[in-house]
Amino acid sequence: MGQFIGGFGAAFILAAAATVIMKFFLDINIIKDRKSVIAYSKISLSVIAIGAVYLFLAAMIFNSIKSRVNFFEFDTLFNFMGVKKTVGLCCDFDIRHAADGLMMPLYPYIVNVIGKIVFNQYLLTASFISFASACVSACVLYSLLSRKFTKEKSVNILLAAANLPYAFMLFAPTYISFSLMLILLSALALEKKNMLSFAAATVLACASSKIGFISVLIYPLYRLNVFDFMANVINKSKVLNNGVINRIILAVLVTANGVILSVLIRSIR
Amino acid sequence: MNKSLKKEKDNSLKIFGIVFAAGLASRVLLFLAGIWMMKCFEIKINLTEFFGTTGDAVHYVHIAQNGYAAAGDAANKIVFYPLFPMLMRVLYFVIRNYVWSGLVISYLTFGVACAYLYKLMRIDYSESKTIDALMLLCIAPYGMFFISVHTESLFLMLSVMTLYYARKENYIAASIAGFFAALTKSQGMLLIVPVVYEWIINCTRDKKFCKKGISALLIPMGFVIYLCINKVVQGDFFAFVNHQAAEPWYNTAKWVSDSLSTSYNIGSDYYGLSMIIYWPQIILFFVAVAFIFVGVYKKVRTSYLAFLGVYTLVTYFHGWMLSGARYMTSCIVMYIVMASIDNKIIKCLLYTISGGLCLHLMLMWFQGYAIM
Repeated sequence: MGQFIGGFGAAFILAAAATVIMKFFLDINIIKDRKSVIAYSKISLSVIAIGAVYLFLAAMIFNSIKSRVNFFEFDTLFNFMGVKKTVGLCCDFDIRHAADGLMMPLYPYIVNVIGKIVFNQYLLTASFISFASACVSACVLYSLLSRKFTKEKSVNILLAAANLPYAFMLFAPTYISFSLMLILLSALALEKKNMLSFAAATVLACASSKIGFISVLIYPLYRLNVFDFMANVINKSKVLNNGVINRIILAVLVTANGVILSVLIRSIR
Repeated sequence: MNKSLKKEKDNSLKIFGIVFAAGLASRVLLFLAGIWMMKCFEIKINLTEFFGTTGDAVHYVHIAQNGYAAAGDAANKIVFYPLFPMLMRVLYFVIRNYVWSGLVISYLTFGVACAYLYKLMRIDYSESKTIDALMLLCIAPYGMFFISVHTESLFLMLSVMTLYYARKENYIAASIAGFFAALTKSQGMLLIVPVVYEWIINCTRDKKFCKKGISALLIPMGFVIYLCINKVVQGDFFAFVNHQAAEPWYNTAKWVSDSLSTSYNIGSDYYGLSMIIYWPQIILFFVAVAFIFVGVYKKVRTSYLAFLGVYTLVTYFHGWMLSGARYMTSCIVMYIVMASIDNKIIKCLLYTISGGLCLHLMLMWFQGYAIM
């Protein structure tokens, strides 16, 4: 219980710090649109809530399948998600691991540095980075989607994305969320036609993990107007614009996630 | 024109005097209420001995009397900042008693703090909300530290003066007040945050660089002077860090999550202390952070909220904290945020809980319970 109170308190004050920093940017007119700030804050809070629900669900499933688990002990909550190896590598980070092909260097280096300076605990650091990356990813994705779709449709697509199979891994202390954030940032930079930022984000995405190499495909897909084509298909599709079908799709995705989570936990020894 | 300005100034001084007197009277009333409760329960205490030995008072009296020690048992008293005991020593030449000097400083500075809080609140808020802030300050649950030989009243006065002068764009006065606050408590140098914040906002608004804002650098100089005292007395700029980590405090810098979980774990082992030390500081942490969100919603000045945020963060960096509730009680922004709440039911609850806890905790404190 002590760790839960401590972890929740740390997350709470960091969220407060982010709010004050955003307010500062509003006060000095770096951010001019107050409504956007409120929208992004709501998205971030929703993502954090979804992550917390996934973790709690995972704990309940683990409790019913394996053994009794203390819901409020973060170590148990995260360790059974099979991420011990990742965090272990971050603790004893050595560039030779990257050379061995075990892990790309950027993510463990960042966890190592932030862990030493701020949290003094690598599991908590990795979890924080995952949640923060998931929030940023959601905000960037919303920004990209709102350029092609209405606000309501963008939110629906975000909701579906947050419930895709294996989406719960975005909130586990692994590199997945961090890499996804960098990939989406490179896409946003390309959309804003800022080539330098796009190049930097792509390099960082490739350095974060092997899935980061997906960002290399963004430029050719963008030039071929693949994203515009997909947006037109979704906008014109009667099936995907039907509210009932959207709800059914969401329900199926959530159920699928629950099943995958149960299967994953059962397989952990 | 000159006459109206003079009249306005006289009015302002009059109001300052009235609020100062009211603040001072509230401390005297609280003190008398404590004495009356002790008589009701037939508990006899020697006031001078009680105020001279309770909590950190014994350390401040020792420093005021003997100064900092280079070695020996008293060497660890270097962890206490110098301004308050220095003022006690100065006042001793008039009052001829260190304990009563400390008490007079606490009472007078509380009165001045109330007067400045009135002036600060009246810049942005109505008279009724200003009165709310003052009332909530006067009945703060751990308000007994504003009537004892502790730095809380002095720090409260200096911090509210810093915020007031920063709001009035008088950066030099704000920096001087902040400098002295940094010599009073470790959290004092954090006052650079609201001063610099106001400076940046005003430079952005006026679209010109205000050179007077550079005086904000004076604030951390207070802490630098304290480090120099450590060096001169004990040969190490960070001697206080070693003493804090040793007996009897065992205090090292730890992240907020560690501090909160330590408070919970120790509180679980010691039920009696948990209700007066550990749970209040855990609850006050969440209340303070929640107040940041409430403050953003109620459009409280962002510089105040930034100060509340860094103050809470730095306060809860203490690895093994015993006085979290006391430290948070002397954060002036808490009362500003509480006063900004419009909901009458919530306000009523705040008054009831604060007042009830204030009297209850004070009675326990007079009886010798470990309220630190």
